[in-house]
Amino acid sequence: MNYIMNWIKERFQIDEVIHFAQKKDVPVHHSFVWYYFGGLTLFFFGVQVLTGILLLLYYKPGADTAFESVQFLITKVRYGWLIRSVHSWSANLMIFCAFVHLFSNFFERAYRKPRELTWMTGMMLFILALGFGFSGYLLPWNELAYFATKVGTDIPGVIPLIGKPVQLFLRGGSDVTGATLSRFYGFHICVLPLIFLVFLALHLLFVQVQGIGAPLEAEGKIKKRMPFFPDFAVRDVVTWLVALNVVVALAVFLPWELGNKADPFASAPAGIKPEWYFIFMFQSLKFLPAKILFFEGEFLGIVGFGLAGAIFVVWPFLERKSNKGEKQPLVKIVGLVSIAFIIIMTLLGYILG
Amino acid sequence: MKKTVIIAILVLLSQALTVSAQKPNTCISCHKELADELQKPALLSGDDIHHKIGLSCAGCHGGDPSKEDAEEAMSPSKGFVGVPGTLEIPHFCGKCHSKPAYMRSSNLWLPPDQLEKYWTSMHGQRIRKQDKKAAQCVSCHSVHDIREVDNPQASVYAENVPATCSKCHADSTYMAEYGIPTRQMDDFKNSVHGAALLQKHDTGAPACNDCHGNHAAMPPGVTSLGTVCYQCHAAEGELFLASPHKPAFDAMGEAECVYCHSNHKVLHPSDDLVGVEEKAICVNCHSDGDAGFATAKSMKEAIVELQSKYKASKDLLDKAASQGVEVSEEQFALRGIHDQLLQMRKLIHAFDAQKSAAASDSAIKAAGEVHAAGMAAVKEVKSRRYYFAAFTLITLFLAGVLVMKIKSYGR
Amino acid sequence: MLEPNAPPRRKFLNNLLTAGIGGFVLALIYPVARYLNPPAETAPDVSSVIAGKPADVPVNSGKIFKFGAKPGLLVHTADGEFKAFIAECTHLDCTVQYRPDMKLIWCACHNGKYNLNGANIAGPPPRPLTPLTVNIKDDQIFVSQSA
Repeated sequence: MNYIMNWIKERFQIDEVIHFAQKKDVPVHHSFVWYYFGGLTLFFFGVQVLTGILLLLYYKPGADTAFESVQFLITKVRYGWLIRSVHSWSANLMIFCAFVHLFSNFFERAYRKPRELTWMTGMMLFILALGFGFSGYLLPWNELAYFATKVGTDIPGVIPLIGKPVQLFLRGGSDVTGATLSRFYGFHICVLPLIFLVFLALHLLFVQVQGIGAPLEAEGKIKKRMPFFPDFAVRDVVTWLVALNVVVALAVFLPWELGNKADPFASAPAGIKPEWYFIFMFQSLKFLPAKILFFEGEFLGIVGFGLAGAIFVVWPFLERKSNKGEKQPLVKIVGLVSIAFIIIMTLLGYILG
Repeated sequence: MKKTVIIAILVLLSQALTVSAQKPNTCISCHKELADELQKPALLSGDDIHHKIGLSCAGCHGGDPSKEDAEEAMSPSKGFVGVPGTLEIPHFCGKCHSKPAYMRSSNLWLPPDQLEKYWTSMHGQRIRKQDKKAAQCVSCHSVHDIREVDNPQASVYAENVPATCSKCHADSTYMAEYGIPTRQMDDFKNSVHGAALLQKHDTGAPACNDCHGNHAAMPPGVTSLGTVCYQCHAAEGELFLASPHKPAFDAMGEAECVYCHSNHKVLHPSDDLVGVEEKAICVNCHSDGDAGFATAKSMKEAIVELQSKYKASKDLLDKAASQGVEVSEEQFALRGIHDQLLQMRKLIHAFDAQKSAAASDSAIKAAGEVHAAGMAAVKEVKSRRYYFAAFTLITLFLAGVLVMKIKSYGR
Repeated sequence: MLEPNAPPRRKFLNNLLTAGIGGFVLALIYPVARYLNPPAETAPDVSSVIAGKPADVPVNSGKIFKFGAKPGLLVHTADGEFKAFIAECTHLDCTVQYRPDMKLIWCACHNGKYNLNGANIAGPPPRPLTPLTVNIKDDQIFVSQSA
């Protein structure tokens, strides 16, 4: 180990890097546990990249071959069932951890000055993660995915003016076909990863350069700071090991189903639903009446969600009291209402659906 | 060459006929102004096949359709014969329909034997005995709005045949004097054939005429019932005719097929029909000790065995599939077992214990293979759990060591 | 981090750590390595299925094979041609078979008959059988979806 370090030191100026790494620390306080969720999200993303690369060695995109290649993969390829189920489960866990990471930072008002850009790049990463989930879901080209994508891409169609062009762009045509599958495959393995990596690099860079923030209440009262290397890093690794074990357990005991191949001519089976992280939007759109004033109900719903998303993205600039270190009860209210809305709508989506 | 000549003749003829149809038709124009029964023919004629090919009112009733004056138009000197009496109707239609040369000129493919066949039927025989209640051409084909058989609105279109026959045959008051039952339509509606024809619109399923005949309609002879059912159920028929039951049933005068399966109320046969239990039909004649009893018993046992192996394999495969093992190839093999189960049920009609045993042996062997595949699929589930256990142990070990490391930092 | 002259307890812990990391890495690499090794049977392009060898199907005989989720019927006609169809009867989906005595495709359920072009010629079947394309290459019979 030392030999390798010396070899590198003789060739590259890494003193500053080492010094930085030794200095990097984590404030210790009562909300310490939430710090793990950023790393967990990153870990699950790593799992996605690795299992994704393995999957694309056997996956054959195209309406004639996608389903069969996945079927071949999970039956004939050794441990294919494992790689595929891990990929599907880890996607869900990644988005779940992203939700937790988002809301924990929201409640702790981590977005306040100087970390506005960290927050905004984080929101972009979250939206991209949802895009990954949506595009990846279609790739096995099975019944559920086909109809979920049909319903999902129907929704932007109600936006006036840009709605139809957006729909055409997403679908690669007026209907969900093999062209949609090709497009989603391209988005999923190339376009989204590249954009994601840019925002991820920025997000991580900002965190390194600015250091890990503490909640507003704890500022000035931090008694202890834990060195990142090795103390926090080892704790991170332990949580990652547990997370990996959980995802493998899920793959073994609750394997991801494949179901039947998509048949565009068959009628939709009962109970078509998007993935759980879209259910709250899906269900609330269902509740809206067909017409509100002279607008289509669905259109207002989409506008509503778009606005909510936009508000969350620029939140650091809307909520300024935290910059001055003042209390802002609005944060708790907005946060709790959002979480309650999401949970209730998701539950309703499953109970009523 | 021959084909071209025939087509040419038909084209020329149809031209000639349509020309005549385009001439003014005072029958229609006058009768349209009348009321009730006299008006009806004029109103219906638009849908009528005869009218469409240019054979209008005068073609059957005679008279002169170019004359405005009623007496001149309906003059016997112009061939007017008026409305035929009920008993004359077969002759009336037969004027054209029983003449091969004439029929060839208007519809090459319509056989001219309906009248000949009709006289052999029950309906024809009753008409000859001056029974006006018996069915004649108009009873089934209607009049003035006669449609081709393949027209879904025709009274004689496959799906509509049961309703047409039921007009009389389901009317207990009408049929009282003939002493035959009138529940055929009810029975048929509740049968597999009825459900297929009337609900699923499967015109491959039999209507009344497919078993009883059209113009030569008669209840099939008790000992030739087979020829009726075997049109479609050929596999079973072939086996039955070669089986010991054929001579036995003939000797007893028992109805083939119908004895076990009923005639109009044919239901989906269940395995309960065969065997030696109380509900089985075999024990109506066979009793413990005779060869038939032993055959019934062994056939039933073979089927029950295969059915249970099939179900066990299906359950195994379904379970493996629900636990994430992909078993579509094994499920395909299971389909083959199901086909063999169907085959064994057909084989019952041979009433031959050895044949059934041979089929059952090969089927059970195949089922055993599918079952083994099912077990392998379930085993795969187990092996995954072993892998998981090993992985968890290693992970927990590493995590444990790391935790100890954390403690060792003492911070 | 790992000093050479560490006290014994720490050395023991470090050894355990090395062992743990090593074991974990192996537990990860093992399934991935087996995964990367392609299975013996190549994934067929699904629109194309291998129905067997020409020698398996003598003249004037038929063979059922798996075509995707459906049964397929491969017929070696008396004239020496190979033909293939989806073996589901168009009446009620029973599996059809080749009858060498009739030189026809026959359905045992309700006596439906199809000629060797798949056309429904007798009985209840309302439509012809779905034809498949047959190609023989390297002593293997490839059956694929017809265009």
